[in-house]
Amino acid sequence: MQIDVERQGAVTILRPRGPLVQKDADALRQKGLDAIGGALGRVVIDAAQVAYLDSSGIEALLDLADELANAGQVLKLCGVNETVREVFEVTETDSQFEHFEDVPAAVRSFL
Amino acid sequence: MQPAQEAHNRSVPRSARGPISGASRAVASLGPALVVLASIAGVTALACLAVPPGAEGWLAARGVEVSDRVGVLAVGAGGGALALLAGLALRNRARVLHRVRAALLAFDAGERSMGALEIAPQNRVAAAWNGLVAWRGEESDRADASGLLAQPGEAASDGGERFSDLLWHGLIIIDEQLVVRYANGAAAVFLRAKRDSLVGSDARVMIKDARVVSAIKNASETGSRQKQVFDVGSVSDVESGVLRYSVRASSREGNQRVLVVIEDVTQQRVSEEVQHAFVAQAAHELRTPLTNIRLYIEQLIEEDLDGAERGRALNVLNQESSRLDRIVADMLSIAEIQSGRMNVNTGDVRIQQIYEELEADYAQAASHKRLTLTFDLPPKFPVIRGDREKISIVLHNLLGNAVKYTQPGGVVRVSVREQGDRLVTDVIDTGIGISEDDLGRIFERFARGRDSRVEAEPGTGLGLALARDIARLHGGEITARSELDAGSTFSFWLPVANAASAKAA
Repeated sequence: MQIDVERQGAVTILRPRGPLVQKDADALRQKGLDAIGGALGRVVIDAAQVAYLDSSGIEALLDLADELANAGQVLKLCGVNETVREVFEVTETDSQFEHFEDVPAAVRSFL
Repeated sequence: MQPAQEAHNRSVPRSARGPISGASRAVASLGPALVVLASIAGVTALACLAVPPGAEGWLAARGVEVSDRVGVLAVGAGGGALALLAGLALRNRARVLHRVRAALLAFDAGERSMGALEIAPQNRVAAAWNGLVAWRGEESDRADASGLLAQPGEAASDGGERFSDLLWHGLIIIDEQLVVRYANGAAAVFLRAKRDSLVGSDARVMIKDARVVSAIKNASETGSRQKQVFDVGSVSDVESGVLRYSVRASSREGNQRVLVVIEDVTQQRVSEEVQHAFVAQAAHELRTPLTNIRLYIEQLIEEDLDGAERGRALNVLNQESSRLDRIVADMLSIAEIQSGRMNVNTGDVRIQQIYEELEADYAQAASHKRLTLTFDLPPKFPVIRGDREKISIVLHNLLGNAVKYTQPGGVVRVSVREQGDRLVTDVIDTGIGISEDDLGRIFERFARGRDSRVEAEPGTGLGLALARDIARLHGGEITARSELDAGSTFSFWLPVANAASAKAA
């Protein structure tokens, strides 16, 4: 899976493209941890291109959320589609993340 | 209200509980003949009074029924009842003050229980005292819970540690020896230290910035409550960012502490710098076409131009004013997107018209630069759901760049095709190209290629950022491929109508 890394101001945006499953989840976890370490937690995951995700995808996101929680921060997601949101709701993980409509809104939240 | 009263009645020692409530009940039940022992500031007066006609209504209005009159036995018959009631009120007040005093003495003796310090809420003073006691109680509970000023060697309460860990600002508590007593998770992250190694270590070693360290020393020595604030780091180093240290001394029960709060203000600072850059750049960008417009207007006014020259001048005026218009529109759009107020007026877009307009708009500029501009359009266009104006901005920006950054004699080609559920537009040029470094940042706001040939051309560095934002707002995307000195290809796709409506649903 392709994961684009983009910087907007001081915020790092991770943009996974495609479903977040299995080994792709590991890739996202690694890139996410790098980004968190590199930008003091100023990280947003733009999930607009993530069609769906499985349990390993959720785990990767929760791992990143845990990492951020050490510094009192919350993982910011944006552009989550209906399918993915339903997965979060069914697994009751929805509340672990902060949700934004789009990248600009998520980036603004760091102000 | 009732349970609260009971609670404090239990808490007040029996001896302190006055007969006052019993007395007032007696006053109320005595009815017409009021015979009461009233003590006012140590003076005891015996009064048996008749209620005068005037006082009758007054008393009745206050729920005291006056049905009979009794002969006068003693002192000042007329205002006697009023004086008595006033006396009762005064005595009541004196009792309350006495209880407040008792509570203060109890507090001085070490009593901290809210129950023991509260008094019977007989009047506003008593109620205010109880309010104060309750408020202080909550405050100290909070302070205890956060463990902010824990004694040396005394661990902050478990719950408290966890709560300050949830704080997204770093929090460090330093004692008189400048040893870190407490640090939350965020502080450890900001100082890039393990939390375990942070606690117990010398603050001067952990905090690198000399100004912050000297402020900590100063606060510790003087106990000054003056908050000192330092921004450490620079915006250009995004990795470590800009951290704002606030330093202030604090003490509780004789323990002097210095509190250091660390905030990550990098994004704020970046945003400020971007805004400053925006204003500077905007002024610069607006000035160039304005200067041209003024020059040509002066020419038109002052010089006697022939028909051809006039035509040329008007043409320049026309071009420059539409350039101004585009710059202002770009800025407004960027501002809208940044503030999240971008309105997308969604409708069915007959996109073919946009390409026809593009062809007409750029034909002249291309021929002026001796560029070959071609359009490969499909015979039939799908319907696109979106905002016609915004889509037009994207295509204008992409084609405008291609024309701007391709040298005379070059080729610019716009190729449009339907691919699956997407309408893909490629804008291909044989221009100066973009280095790999720059390719990574051209879609950032105000980012312009670090190439003298780019710098020579006017531009805000807003066009591509705006174009990509708009593409994404429509559920599409823009990507770029390029090779320095060989040319660039910008691919812009939009979902076609049925796919777009499925996404929106």
